[in-house]
Amino acid sequence: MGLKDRIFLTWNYGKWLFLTGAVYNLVCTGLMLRDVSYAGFVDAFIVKVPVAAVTLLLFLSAKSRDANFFYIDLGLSPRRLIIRSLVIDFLMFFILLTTVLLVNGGEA
Amino acid sequence: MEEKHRLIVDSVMVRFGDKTVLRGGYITSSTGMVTGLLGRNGTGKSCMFRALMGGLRVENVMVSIDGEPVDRRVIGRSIKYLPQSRLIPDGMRLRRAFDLYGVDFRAFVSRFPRYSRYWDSAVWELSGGETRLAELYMVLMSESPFYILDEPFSQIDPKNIEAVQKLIRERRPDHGIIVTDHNYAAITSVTDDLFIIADGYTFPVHSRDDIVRHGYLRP
Repeated sequence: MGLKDRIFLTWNYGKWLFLTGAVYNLVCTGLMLRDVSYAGFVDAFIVKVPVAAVTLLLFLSAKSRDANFFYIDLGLSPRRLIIRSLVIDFLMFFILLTTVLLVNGGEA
Repeated sequence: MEEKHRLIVDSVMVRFGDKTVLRGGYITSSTGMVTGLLGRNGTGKSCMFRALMGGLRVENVMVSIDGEPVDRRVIGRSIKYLPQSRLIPDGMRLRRAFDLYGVDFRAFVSRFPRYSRYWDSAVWELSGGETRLAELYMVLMSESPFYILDEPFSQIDPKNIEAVQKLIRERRPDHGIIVTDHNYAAITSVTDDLFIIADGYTFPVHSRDDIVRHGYLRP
């Protein structure tokens, strides 16, 4: 299986995690653009962790018991797909907010 | 002719709260054989398959191929499993799923021409029976030494049951296949070896009397 297929499958598996994460990230970016500060960045991160945890719980409870077998049959581990999705979500969070801080110059 | 392999699934123990569904689940399969698993509803047939595929938290399960323990994080490379419910994610296109499984969609359409209209369709556009047949073909034609088919004949019309049986027979020489279904006649006509689950344990079936004794068929 090629990299392109792996990226497609990771997106397909965790798209609801990505989408809810992206909404939160964009809201935080919008708020940061209005009031650029390191303190705001830290607050956004402190709230990001429980938001991601609740999203993950909802995601797992909504997913059908057998939905994972499509990926398992392809030799992929659902646990790894979730971890990969969360890592990408957090990476996007840091990239967006760090960019805002660097471009606009944050104040403590 | 492919290399011969032997799959052994042993000591499967599954518990939900206080209820122990499986205490000593066991099944084996070899290249060139179709193994049937029978059992009444709720006896743990699907639980055993989910357990060995890593889709269910279990107390214990041992899976080995040719005597070597299988890494259950990547078990799909050695065993392909068709679950009872839909396998292909709803929004995915049928052709895309076939590509990912390394199965030629054109060959499928030439065998089942009615699927030509689903060339670019998402899975939710197909009926339950159509999806079942497509998924069954996709799993059985993908590259793997072993296949586990959980109720492959459910939702399939009688004409296509014969097509499925033919497909299983075609794949048998180079693969090991485990099948469970309540269509007793369809199962016994394709299997070389039979097991039955009762009271949390798996028992070999040597004759119809064994099945009757475990309460699966009336005397």
